[in-house]
Amino acid sequence: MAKKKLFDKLPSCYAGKILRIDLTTKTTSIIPTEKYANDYIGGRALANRLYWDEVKDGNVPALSAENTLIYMNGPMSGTGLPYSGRAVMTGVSAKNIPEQYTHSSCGGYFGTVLKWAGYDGFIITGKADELTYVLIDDDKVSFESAEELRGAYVQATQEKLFEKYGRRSSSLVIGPAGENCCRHASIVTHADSAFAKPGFGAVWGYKNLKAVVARGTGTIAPADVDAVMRIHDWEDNPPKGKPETGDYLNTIEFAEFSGPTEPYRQVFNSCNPACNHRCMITRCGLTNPLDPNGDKVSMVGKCLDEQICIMRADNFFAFGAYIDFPRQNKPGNYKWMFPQVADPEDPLLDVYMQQYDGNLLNMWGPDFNFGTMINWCCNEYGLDKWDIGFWLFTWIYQCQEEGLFDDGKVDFGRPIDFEDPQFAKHILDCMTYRQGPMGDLLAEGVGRMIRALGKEKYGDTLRHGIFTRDGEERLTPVSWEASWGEPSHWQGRGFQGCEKNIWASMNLVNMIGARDEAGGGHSHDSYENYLTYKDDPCHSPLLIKATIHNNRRSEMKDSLVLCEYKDPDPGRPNLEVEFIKAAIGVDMTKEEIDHIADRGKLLERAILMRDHGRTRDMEVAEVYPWMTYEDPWGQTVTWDEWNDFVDLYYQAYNWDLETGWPTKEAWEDVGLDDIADFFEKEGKIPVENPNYVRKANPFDR
Amino acid sequence: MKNDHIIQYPEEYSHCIGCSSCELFCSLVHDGVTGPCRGGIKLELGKLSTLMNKVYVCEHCEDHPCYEACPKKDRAMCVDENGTVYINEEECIGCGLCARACKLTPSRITMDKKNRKAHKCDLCRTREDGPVCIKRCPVVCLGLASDPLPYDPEKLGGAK
Repeated sequence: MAKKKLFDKLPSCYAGKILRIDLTTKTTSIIPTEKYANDYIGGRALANRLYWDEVKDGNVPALSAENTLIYMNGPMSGTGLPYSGRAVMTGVSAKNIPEQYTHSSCGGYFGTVLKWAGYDGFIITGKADELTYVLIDDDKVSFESAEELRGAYVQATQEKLFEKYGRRSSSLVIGPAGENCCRHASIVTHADSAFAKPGFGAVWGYKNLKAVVARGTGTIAPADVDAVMRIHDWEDNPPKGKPETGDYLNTIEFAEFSGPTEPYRQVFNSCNPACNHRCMITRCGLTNPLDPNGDKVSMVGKCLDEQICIMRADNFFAFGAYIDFPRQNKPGNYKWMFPQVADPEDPLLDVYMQQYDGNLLNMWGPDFNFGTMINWCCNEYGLDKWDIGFWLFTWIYQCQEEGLFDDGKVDFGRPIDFEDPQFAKHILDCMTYRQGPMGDLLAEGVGRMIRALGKEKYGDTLRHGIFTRDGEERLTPVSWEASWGEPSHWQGRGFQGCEKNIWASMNLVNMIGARDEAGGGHSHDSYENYLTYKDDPCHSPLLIKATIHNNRRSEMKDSLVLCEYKDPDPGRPNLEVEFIKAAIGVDMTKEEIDHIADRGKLLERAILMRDHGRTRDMEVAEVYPWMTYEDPWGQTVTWDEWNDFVDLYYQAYNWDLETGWPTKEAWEDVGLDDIADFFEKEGKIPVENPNYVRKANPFDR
Repeated sequence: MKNDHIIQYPEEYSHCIGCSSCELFCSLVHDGVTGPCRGGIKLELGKLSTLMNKVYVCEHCEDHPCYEACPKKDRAMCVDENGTVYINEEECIGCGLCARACKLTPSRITMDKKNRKAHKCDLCRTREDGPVCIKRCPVVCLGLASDPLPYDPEKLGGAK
């Protein structure tokens, strides 16, 4: 399919400029958005192309002046469309093992304000000679000393910048964890919207970049205001649709719930302007865990906080199941992601609710105050809650249960106590400030810490005491690391005990990228299709088709940029078409949109191949071992079964079975002829090998 | 005595989370664009640690000192048959006298210095669906003073 020219003149939903920032030389330059927007639309797809063009050799350490980070809005940001305020960041991840190119997305208001200042995105290179923040004040960009902000918590940093530049400014900041190059450090904006998973906060810290502040007086205009309004009307009163089978969650049961010890108010809210989804949870009037005698605080979070704080859910995401929410702050129209907000009249609802019958995890006694301490420390230190809550603390707990710390060789500098919130703070202090006997190891991230301690013992030892609901014990490693230095996420073990068709699909997605494709990449398909492959998902072209469909939605979610809590929406298959028409004013077919999505996806593969030597052997070896542990139904994959599935996937993308490299036609089909030429010179255009024989299983567990 | 105007409900009923939808849609329906703050409705963001936010909007006072102060009264600053005080921007010369005459703090009239125009709430008087800020507030924390309250003030509890 030929590239479609979307527009002759850049529409007014774009700001028009991308800012190149060199921290070393303290200089900036401008790239016109127009150069890229036609072919790559925005967000992740555009960032991928920018990265390919700007970075000629991305095989650099994450913590280096040479690591280039790209922040990109999409055309939807700031237009008033619902759930459109997100943005993406790409670059070499500090947390991935091995370090490699990946991406993250973030909500909040910064993206909209940046557009009002005149920029669709920015590129950060180099390293400042002192702790610095970059001030983008309409056309004026300056490099300011941030030494007075050194060590400041995330919110204190933002408040200080508000004082200087007004509350209509917006900032992306790092906390002390980023300053100290902790590989779980996040970049945060507003109240707990964060670029978290790839550890980009550590990269900013290494580069001596404390914050980027934006203040703008410009405007952004959607192509069709009435269409924006109609979309909001629809979202406020969505017609009933049929839920899909999908990523519903395993039920988890914890021990007796403890706390909270004081009354508080809990409300739903949205994380970005004009969003009507209210998927964030704010708890108001809580004691500040880091300053118990100070003012009460309001703590923002979403699904993850629910898990960490409450830890008592018959369903993992049991929003509203046990707490009386105020009258109007209630959850909005989610996609069919959470069974409890699915259409209660749908005749298939019972089926979905019965399918997922997960593990009894037997984790530590759920404690509101313990969870709140984790949340607040992560918010203020600038740490990734997912890895801290789901990986670090579960790892400590599971190692302790298996007696791995009994020999005293691992010394956290304080007795392990899951009843004491101060233990949580102590661990996060050690990680953030690199203090105590384990500080430096913790700051290197859970995956690297476990490798340094000895993965065979501290990572792969099997945890006992996890049972299915029918009482059968399931053994999984004490570390829930699944692939690329990431903890399991929709990969069938750990917290997400989804069915095999889902975790197999999700592992394919993770396999060809470098992280979990949370949100947009959640596995979705029709119930009818599910019935055809549920007993043998790894040989189903239909599941491959669904996986690629979900890949495309994920790409577009991060390119427009929309929110993973809504897109894809099975109840609204024309969502992207309508949003593009309303914001950009262009008629696009779904096929044309998919074409851009595929182009973005292949650009990511091009970067992984060019900079990190990505091959089939590498990525299959990365994801396969985790799937050899039993899921809640006792399911695994065999080596051949998994490789059959990979074959189907590669064939669908027209990639070589032996190397995993796209064919010349695959590049050219999405309009990346120049990249095909590049790889031809590099000798990485695959030639079909008639003697190709699949390698034998190298894993013998 | 005040004419009809936008009010912010008590936080016990609905918590304004500072999403700025009210401001953004005010700009969209009046100007077709989003911008930092058109001025029809003003959101004052509270501290991040508390997230207690306030909305300020014209109360369409019956004595309307802004109208009285306008040198182009009835052409630039006008009052309609419902007592809604509004600005005819084509006639506005951006002198700022109305903003200074507003007796509320902060002034409910915003000066657009770049374009030399004043902006204030006009209750979306020509919009069929009524004020867009009310319609689009995702947490229903805005309403009209004249409408029956959607809650019983007697039954509003404090913290849960």
